[in-house]
Amino acid sequence: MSGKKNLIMGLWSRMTFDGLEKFIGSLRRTTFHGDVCVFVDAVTAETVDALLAHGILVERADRLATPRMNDQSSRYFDYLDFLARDGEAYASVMISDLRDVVFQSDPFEKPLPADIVFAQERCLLGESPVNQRWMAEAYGEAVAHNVRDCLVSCSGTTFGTVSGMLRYLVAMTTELAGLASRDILLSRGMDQGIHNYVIRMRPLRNAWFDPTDSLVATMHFVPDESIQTTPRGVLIDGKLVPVVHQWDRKKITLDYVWAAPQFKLDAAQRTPRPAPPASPSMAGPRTMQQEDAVVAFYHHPRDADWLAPFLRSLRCAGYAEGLHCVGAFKQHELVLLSQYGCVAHPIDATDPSLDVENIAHLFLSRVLDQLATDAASRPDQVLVLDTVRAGFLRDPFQAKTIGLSAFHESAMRIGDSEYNLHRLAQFTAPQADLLQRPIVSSSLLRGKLDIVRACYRKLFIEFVGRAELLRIPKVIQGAINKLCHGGGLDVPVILHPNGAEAYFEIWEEGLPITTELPIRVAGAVPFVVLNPVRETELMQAVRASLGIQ
Amino acid sequence: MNGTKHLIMGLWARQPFRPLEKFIASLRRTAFTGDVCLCVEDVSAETVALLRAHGIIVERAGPSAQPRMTALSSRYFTYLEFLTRHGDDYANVMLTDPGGTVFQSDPFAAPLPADIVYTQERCRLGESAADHDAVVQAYGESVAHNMRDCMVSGAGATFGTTSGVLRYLVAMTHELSGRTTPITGAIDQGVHNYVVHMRPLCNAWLDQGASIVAAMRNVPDASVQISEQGVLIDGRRAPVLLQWDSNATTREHVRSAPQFRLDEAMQVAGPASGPATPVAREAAAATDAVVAYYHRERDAEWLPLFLGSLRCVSDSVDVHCVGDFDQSEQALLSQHRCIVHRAPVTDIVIAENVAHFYLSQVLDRLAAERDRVPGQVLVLDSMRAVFPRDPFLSKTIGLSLFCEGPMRIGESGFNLERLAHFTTSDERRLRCPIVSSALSRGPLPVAREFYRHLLAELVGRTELLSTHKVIQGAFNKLCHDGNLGFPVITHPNGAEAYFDFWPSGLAIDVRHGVRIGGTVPGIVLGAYTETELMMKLRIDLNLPTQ
Repeated sequence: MSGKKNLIMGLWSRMTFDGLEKFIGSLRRTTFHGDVCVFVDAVTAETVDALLAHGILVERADRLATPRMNDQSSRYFDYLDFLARDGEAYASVMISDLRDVVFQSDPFEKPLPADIVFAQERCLLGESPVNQRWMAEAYGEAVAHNVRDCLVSCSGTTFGTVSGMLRYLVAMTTELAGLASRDILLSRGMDQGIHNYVIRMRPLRNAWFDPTDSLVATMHFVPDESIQTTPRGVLIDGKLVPVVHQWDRKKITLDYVWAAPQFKLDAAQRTPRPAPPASPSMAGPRTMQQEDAVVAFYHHPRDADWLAPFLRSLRCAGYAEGLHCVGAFKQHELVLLSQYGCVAHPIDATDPSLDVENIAHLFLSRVLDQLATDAASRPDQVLVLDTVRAGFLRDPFQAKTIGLSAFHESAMRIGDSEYNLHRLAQFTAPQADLLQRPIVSSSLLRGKLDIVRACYRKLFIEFVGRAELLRIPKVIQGAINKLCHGGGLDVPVILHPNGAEAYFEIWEEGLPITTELPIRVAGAVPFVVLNPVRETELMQAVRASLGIQ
Repeated sequence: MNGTKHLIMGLWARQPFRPLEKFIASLRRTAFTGDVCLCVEDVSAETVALLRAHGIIVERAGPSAQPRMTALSSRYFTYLEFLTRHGDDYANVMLTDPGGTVFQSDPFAAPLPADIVYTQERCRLGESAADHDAVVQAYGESVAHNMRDCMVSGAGATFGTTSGVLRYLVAMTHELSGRTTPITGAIDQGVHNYVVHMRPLCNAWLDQGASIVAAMRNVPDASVQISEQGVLIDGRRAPVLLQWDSNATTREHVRSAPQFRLDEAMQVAGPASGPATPVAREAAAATDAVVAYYHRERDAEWLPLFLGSLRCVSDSVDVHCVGDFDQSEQALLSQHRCIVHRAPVTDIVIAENVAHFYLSQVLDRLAAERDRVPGQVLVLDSMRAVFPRDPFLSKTIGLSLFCEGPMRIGESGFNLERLAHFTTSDERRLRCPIVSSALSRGPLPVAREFYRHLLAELVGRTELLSTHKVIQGAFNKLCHDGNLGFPVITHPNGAEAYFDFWPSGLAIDVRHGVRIGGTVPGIVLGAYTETELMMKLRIDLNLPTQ
């Protein structure tokens, strides 16, 4: 895995950006040039903006949370999910607490001494009542007694090669899964008990509990006489350790880190965001330059209240790639678009006699054609939306796949909807089989740029010589259902049930919805919630979860 | 994930070898030259031996299994654990139900159309009561209703690149972990369909065209045709047939056609051209070795259990035994492909001291061998042990040593006395746990270096050897002083080695194999072959219990 970048991952939950100053400020002054990925949970939009501005990859943590685990425990599932998706882009990984970690040098400067390196605390498990209790609650008194003379490992920092870290995370999540039927995983710090169990009772291949503090010094139990502050930094037993964890637990390091300039953020440290991790894929090689793009149609009379939350939620969800809006914009709207890094594609006001949800696709198609002409900025995949009446919960391309992705409006079938039957009938005689198919929404489509463009070509053929159809509200949905269900497209069509990728909060579905964090629809986290009414309980929860009004 | 081979993985639980005939025979007649790995649970030693004889990698499911889940659900954790250890060796992976699968051609002959390819059945979730119920069991009625018009995907065959299958397994294990309902029955099929439809994964595809697998359960008879090429579905020959026994025409064909029968020639360790066999797989890297000292008076009863269990969990490890062996013992050693190193009989009182001299000599001999120097060695001063899993599964850097239990040196007069022969017992040492001299593990040079230090402690002091197990004092001095010049990893009792000599209080769980304190140690050492734990292990490994 030589020549690859290194990665640092951590969780930032319910705190502001200020708390990250020492972590980022110190890291950016080392020679570390890898990626930093922060999983965020219940943080403000400003915090996400600031993270992105400092070149940090932002992922939403709540997608993988399970109800009977707190975020400290469920973060291991987040880390594992990320590494399973993007691990091929990296050589080595550090998972780290963020608030109380500072860097004195690049922790990956030297080769790691083992595939997995655990951090020690200078204390035995049997001498630390809290660590003893976590172990006993999770595994019983006998196990806790059995490991009483092992040194505590702090779960706050762990290092490894990608494959080593995968082994560690699989072991952690497997142990967590085994305990998930009990409520103990709601206890704060319990993950450290499990971490110590994994190290001691479930040893992993090529793992090493580092008793030499070669990578990190965990300060809580370090005696004061071992600590020395010098112009070079904090020395522990005379050594300059690359990472200092729990620096706020010791007055000498607390004072030093607060005062020394190398731990402060300055404007120069705002770096461009890194390119998205590029993994080789069977679905076509992707270069580092090829981003994805969201392309949305904006109609002021319909969407004016939605523009800001649409843009903001998309960026807060950690999506940092291409964004295009087409519509007739007012000046302040252009300012807003620019503020969110959105490319405006202005058009003249549309013919009011034509239905806006039909003609939106004509304009969207033109934008796609424009994007296709510029080889330098040509997107890989696109998500097209005929509206901005939507709130995002995660990166809309996280689960992108081959072919064309289309989305069910609900579990309702075409044959159960007069509205859709009528529209379908404009394009084909509905056969019995077609009536049994679920309704595909015309509001959004996703796929590789050329595939979506090809789909639009087929779609517009349905209207050739029949422009009068464009006056029928949302008639285009009939054509989309014909193409998606009738096999008229020459590419795989992946139909996603309601809630899996996009949730249409239009009908009374009866799907279980959790509006408290972590937000869930049918147990899943869709990337977008679409609703013509802005102020539903779910929409409010979506915005609240992203820290936006 | 830079491997070039392909991997087929499955679970084989509570069944003999025979039902695997169609799976193995048909696969071996294709151009497939990759690895086949079966995770086994509760199968006989004969089944394990036959699997290996047919070039199949055998992995014990127990260590990574989930006690609260059925084997069908727990298998995803085992697959995931295996892939995180060996994923770098492979390009593509197929997960399959071996009992219901036959091959008509190499499923990896053509490039995969996506990073993850799911198998589609010809049925919608709302039309299949079993699949609908599985979703309801896992996620509730409204979610099942929401998915009613999605096509059923069969969990019995899933393909992907290694990273794609890794993503799929992470999603499956995560969803299974999050279920609050009991993980029973065929719930994994419900969770699989939920992952396919409600938790879509990057670059995943439900294969609508049966380009790799034809799932036969709902294929109408009119679509099935038997030809010289094999079974054609709608005129096309799918590389893999899943659920072949649920269609009468296919069932009859598979049962009668010669290409689905095993023959003698297939009892080679995989295709000659490819590194498909476990032995060949390990040969690329240095093989590990167990080096054990045998004392008939003490170990005779244990010899078949030691060798039988070790071969049951690891076919590739080299085994070296040092001691004085009679003819029947030599035959047994030979039968288990064990290399014999002769040593004279010693008094049983000093056997556990003298053993280390002979073991050290064997290590020196191994180091001198040019073509088969082991990577890591596990050195044992006795053969009174049973192996629940590969003892090298979690090998690591430095020297691994093993605590006998939570007891500290200062709490044991026996160990205090032995330590006192080598060093003064200060307060810090007295608080250290007792490290056993019965076994150690590490890279060969590290183990030899350790023996140099150990034997140096005894230079000019041969009288000490008459003290039973005095060498344990030297072990404890060396490993707790930290002056060896390489890392010393001290494992608590049960983590890697479990000492079944006195009550530990650690819970024993026999769901999915034997677990001690929630974990599966690589070796269990004991004084008696018929303790409750030893009997459970013998049953689990299908070793003789009489």
